[in-house]
Order: sequence, then C-alpha cells, then structure tokens
Amino acid sequence: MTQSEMLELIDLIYRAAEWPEWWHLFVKRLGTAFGSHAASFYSQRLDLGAAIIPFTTAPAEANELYLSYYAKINPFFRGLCQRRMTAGSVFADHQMIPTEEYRRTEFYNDFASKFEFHRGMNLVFSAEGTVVGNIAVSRSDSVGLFTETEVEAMTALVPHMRQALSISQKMHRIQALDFVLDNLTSAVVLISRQGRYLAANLAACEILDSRDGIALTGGRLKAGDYRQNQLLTAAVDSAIGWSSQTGGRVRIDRPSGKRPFMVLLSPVRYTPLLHADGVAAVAFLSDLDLQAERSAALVGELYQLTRSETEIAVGLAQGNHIDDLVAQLGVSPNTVRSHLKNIFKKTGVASQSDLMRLMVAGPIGIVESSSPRDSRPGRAPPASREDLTRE
Amino acid sequence: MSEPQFIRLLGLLYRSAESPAFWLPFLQALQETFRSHVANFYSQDLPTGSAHISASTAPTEANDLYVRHYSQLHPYYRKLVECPTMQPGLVVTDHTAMPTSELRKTEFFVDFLNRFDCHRALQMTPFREGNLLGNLAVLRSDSVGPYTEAEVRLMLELVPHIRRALRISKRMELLGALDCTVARLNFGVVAVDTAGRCIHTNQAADQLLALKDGIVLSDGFLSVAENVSERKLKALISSAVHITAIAGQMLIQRPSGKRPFWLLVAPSRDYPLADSGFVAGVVFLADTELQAALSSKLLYTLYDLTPAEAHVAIGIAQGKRMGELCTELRVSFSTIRTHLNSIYQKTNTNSQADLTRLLVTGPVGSLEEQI
Repeated sequence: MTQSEMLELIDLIYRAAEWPEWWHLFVKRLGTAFGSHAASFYSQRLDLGAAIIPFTTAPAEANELYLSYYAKINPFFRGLCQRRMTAGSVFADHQMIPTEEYRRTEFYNDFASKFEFHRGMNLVFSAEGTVVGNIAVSRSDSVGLFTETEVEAMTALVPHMRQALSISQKMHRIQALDFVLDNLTSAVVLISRQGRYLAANLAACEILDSRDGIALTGGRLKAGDYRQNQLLTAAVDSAIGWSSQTGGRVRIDRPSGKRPFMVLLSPVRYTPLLHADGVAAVAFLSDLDLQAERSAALVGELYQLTRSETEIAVGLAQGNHIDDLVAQLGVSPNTVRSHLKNIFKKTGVASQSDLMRLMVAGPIGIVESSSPRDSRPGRAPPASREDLTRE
Repeated sequence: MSEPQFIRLLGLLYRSAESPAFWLPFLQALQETFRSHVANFYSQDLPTGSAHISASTAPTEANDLYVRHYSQLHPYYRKLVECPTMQPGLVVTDHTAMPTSELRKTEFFVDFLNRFDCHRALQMTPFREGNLLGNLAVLRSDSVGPYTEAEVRLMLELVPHIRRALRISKRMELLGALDCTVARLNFGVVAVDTAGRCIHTNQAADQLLALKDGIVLSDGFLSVAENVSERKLKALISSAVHITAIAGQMLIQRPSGKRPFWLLVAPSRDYPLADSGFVAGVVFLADTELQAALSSKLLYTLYDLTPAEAHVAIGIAQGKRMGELCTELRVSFSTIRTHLNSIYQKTNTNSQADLTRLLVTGPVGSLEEQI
C-alpha cells in the first residue's frame, strides 16, 4: 500500500466518523489497497456466534451464508484464537491458525474457499463484553498471503479507526438524546452564550410557534408581557453566566387564557467552551395542562384502566371538578364516583390529590407510547425548529 | 512535509475534535510543522472586533492583550469588514493579505506583533457564521522568514480536515449540553444498545438504581429480582431495540413495599451502526412514590403566596388533610379555608386535586436544588 493510499483511507475513516455513509467507500478502497476482492466492516457476538455486517464489498450470497450459519463456526472466534482477538489487534489468517490446520476446517472448505477467501486479515477495533467489532479483508491464494508489511499497514489504521468509532458513537448518542428530548412534553430550548436561540425540541417548537405569551423574536426568547419579559431576559442572562445568579424560574401568562407556562432557565456546564456560539444554557418550558393530560393517558394504559376510567383520570388531570365531569360525560354522579373508586383501587391511591401526584410522578413527558421505528407520523418541522440532529 | 507527519497531525486533530483538551497538543504539533513559535485557534466578530481565544500556544500576556485591546486594531479584520463576501476556507499570509510595508507601520504590528516576535503570520479561516469568523493561525519571527508557497499549500490541504474537526467538536459540545439537559430531568433515563446493555444513565436513573429496591444494574444490564417481571422487562427491551421497535411500559414492584417503579421503553429513532456502544433504545424509569420537593420560596415568587399560604399549599400538595394543617399551623378550620380560597385565586386553580396537580407538575422540580 502506498503512502497516498494510506492517507486516503485515513481521510475516509474520519469522513465516516461524521457521516457513516462513508464506510461504504472506505471498505471499497480498503479492499483495493490490500489487493482483496472482499472487505467488510462487521461485528461478531461471541456468545451467540451471531454477526452484523453493516458495510461490505463481499457478494450478498457470502454475507447471507455467513450470517445464517458460518458465523457460528468461524474458527477465528473460537477457543484460543478468541482470546487473542483483543481490541487493537491485527492478524493474518496464518498468524492465528497454521494454514494446514485451517484448511481442514469446514469453515474454510465449505465457505471461505468457495468465495476465494483463501487468505484473510482481520483488525479488531473494539471488544466490549461479548461483542467484537472488526474490519476484515479477504483475497485469493493467487494474490498470496498477507505479508508482515501489510499487517503493519493495517495496524497503522487502528488508532484512527478507534478514534473515528468513538466519535461516531457520540454522534449517535446525540441522536438518542435528541430523541429523548423530542419525547418530552416539557419544551426544551438550547441557548447560546450570546443569549440566542440555538435549537429546540419538538414540544418547544409547538409552544414557540403558537405565540401564546412567548415566542422567538430576533433569535431570542421573548415574553409578550413587558414585566415578564424583563424577568425572562434576566433569567437567561444569569443562566448563560452574565451574573452571579444561576438561572431561575419565570411565569409566563398566556393571552389565550390557558394556564401559564412555567419557564426554568438553567446553565449548561461541561467542558470549557471552544466555540464562541456554543450552548450555554437550557430553558425548560412546561405546559401544565398538556403534561397532565398526556401522563393521565399513560397511567390509564399502565394500570389497565377501562376507557371510561381513563376518561375520568384525564378529566381530573385537566383540572376538572367531579361535577364538571358529570356534565361533560353525561353520566350520573354515582357512575363517576364508582369509576373513581375503581381507579383508586387499580392504582392503589387513596385520594384525588394522591392520584394527581401519581400521574405527574411518571416520566411525564413521554408522548409516544407505541410506534414502530421509521413509521412515526411525519411531523412538519415548525418554523422555529432547527433539528438538533442536523447542522 | 512527509505523509507520516501529516497523518500524525490528523490523528491529533481528530482527537481534539472529540476532546477539547487535545487542541493544545495539536496546536503544538502544528507550530512545529510550520516552524513557528505560536499557534492560535480563535474566533473574531467582525463588526465589534471582539475575539474569543479557544486554544493557543501564545504567552497568556499576548492573548490577554489581544482580547482586551488589539483585536479591535487587527488590520486584516478591519479590511475584511469592508469585504463581507469573504468565503470560509481562505488561507492568507501576512504579505498576501496586505503589503508588508503597510502592515509594519500599523500600531498593531509595532506595539503588539513585534513585541512577541510574531512578524510573520499564516492563517486559515475554516468557518464563518454571519459575522463570526473562526480562525487558525501560526506565527513566527522574521528570523525564520516569510511563509512559503509550499507552506500555504500545506495549510490548504489541512482546511477540509480542520473544518470537519470543528464541525465534530461542535456536535460534541451539543452532546455535552444534551447530557446536561437530560441530567436535569426528574425521572431516570437509561440508554441501551442492541444487546440491552446500558451505555448511559442520567442522574435520576443513577439515584433510583442505587436504591436496589426491585431493579438494579447488574453487569451493565437492567435486572429485576422477580422472575416474571424479569422476563417481561427483557422482552420489552428486546422488542424495543430490535427491528420491531415497539415501545412498552410496565410496573416494577419494590421489596420495600413502597409504590412501584414505572418503567417505559422506547426504541431509538435511528438504527444503530454497530452492535455495541450504539444507542438502540431508551428506558425511562420513574418513582411513583416521588414526593414533590417544593420550595416555599418558589411559591412566593411565582404566585405571590404569603408564607402561611405557601405552607398550606405545600401541605395540600403533599397529601395532607385540612385537619392536619389546622393542628400544624395552630389556626382554625375557617382560616385554612380562607387561605385555600386565596391560593385558588392566586394560582388560578379550583380544587385541592387541581392545586396538587399544578404544584407537583414541574419540568424538573426535584433535581433543581441539587445542582
């Protein structure tokens, strides 16, 4: 492998750290650099003999066979070999198992040789518990065995692979946390050191877009009421570090007459900020009506309340009196009372106040209780939304 | 520069992208490569001339002087103010940015650059956001000589990497902010990978699991003592983290006899890249026993309650009966009634249940005081 091929591979590794799609091109180029007709990025579960192959240049048939059967009998992940597969290790097939012995295995005869994977070299970039992450290249005997120099070249990729994977994991965690926040009914707004809006979760976009007492004006949070706006600005300034205070709470009244928003401003402190416009504070906005309503629905599901019982629970959570519910639901006071008794029994509480406490004790914000991946209802990004997962 | 040297520089650069502590070693390697004695990474706001130094190998005194005074006089940026179309990615040297004879007459050069032997400069502007320019500069003395064409080319080769590293580091800052935000939630958040192994817990989850009351973390996996629930938990997590990606919830009974924990599993939005270390699902954990930690101070400021009213309000929210409050406050039943009516008015509520709901529903109430 030439120096410039090496440089290109390293460049691709770091591109992939930011955008995983680049691993496709990386495995392609890696194969070329090592004269191999197959290169794969895969992880192996030692206990189950199972594998996942996210990126590969090997034929689909080979992958299917490996996943369905040969992963279980791969001799390199068994016995003594398994112990040498530590993070950062690079081995050519003959360094791990004497060629004569390897060529007698079912794995070699029925699988590797069929696809001309006579020779292999494997890099372990991570080994956590029973999961081993690998990069492998395979080539035919006609190209020859992997030389010391080639093993060295592959080894030189290790620190970069590990660095890139570590970044990639964190990038993925951003998306996971973003997902957590999008599932809260509490609105979350991230604010820069200059006091400007940076990003918001879904609930925050809804609240800000409704312009009901609080909105984004000139890139900043602004309350409609003059006095409340002063308090809000002061709380933002203190949260981002412009005073000795550390944030605070502000009540924001809503022109619509709905229950006011509670806004909590708090500083975000982690490593020293590198970027002049980095995140410095977070604002939590809560819409009490919405939170109680959604959590009541979850409580209903959790304690297996009937539909009418859930209706009562939701009604109470919305701040209604028992009398209001009688009128709203068009049933007799006795029916409501008996529903309420059942709710108490099922949830194990003794009073309406306790029921309220139970409802808000749960993970109040979790809005979607069941929806499969990739088929969530499409949500049009609100005007003020800047997706946290994108640049 | 040879390829191995360049590769070493890249290694350091991307390590700093992940952990800001490595910017200094990177800058040191960079200044060595460019035979310079100073390397800076800083941002500059064009119209105000204010600067923020992110990392630097320059003497503290020089950085202080720059931020406090000389950033306003920087002749290059003063020129740029009049040229708002400057594209990010630009690489300039002192002598390509302006005639040397002109530069050397400026106060900036005579009183500042010259004093720190920074006669020569090579600078890249990897990003620009509005009027905010991000810059990377190396500086050296006249005795080493002006920066050459080859050095400019090398700096240009670094541009895409610096830009990528800065984008990544910005994401890492966002991650820090998100971690901080999730740490403020008053319920537990546990991120798990496809194997169901925990890779991240927030503060509330740590506290709850530390109770070892019905649910624990064992060998990195959430585990419930009771068999049936254990199977249910495993099934919930596995259906959430695998392709089916179905969310679900359950109650976890506590040996202590307290009210059960509330557990909810949600699949992560994106399918994980690899089996381990990547978030595949999120487990939310809440204590239904949770007593709202209410501060009376908060009630004064938010709702203008009097101290006596705050006491009554908190009592109600904690589930106390009015009789108990009479004894506690040593007042008559009708006084409590009066307080309560006044509280209803001030908080715009209409019943004890409604008041409870208002007071105990907060975004992140219980953790606030500890931070």
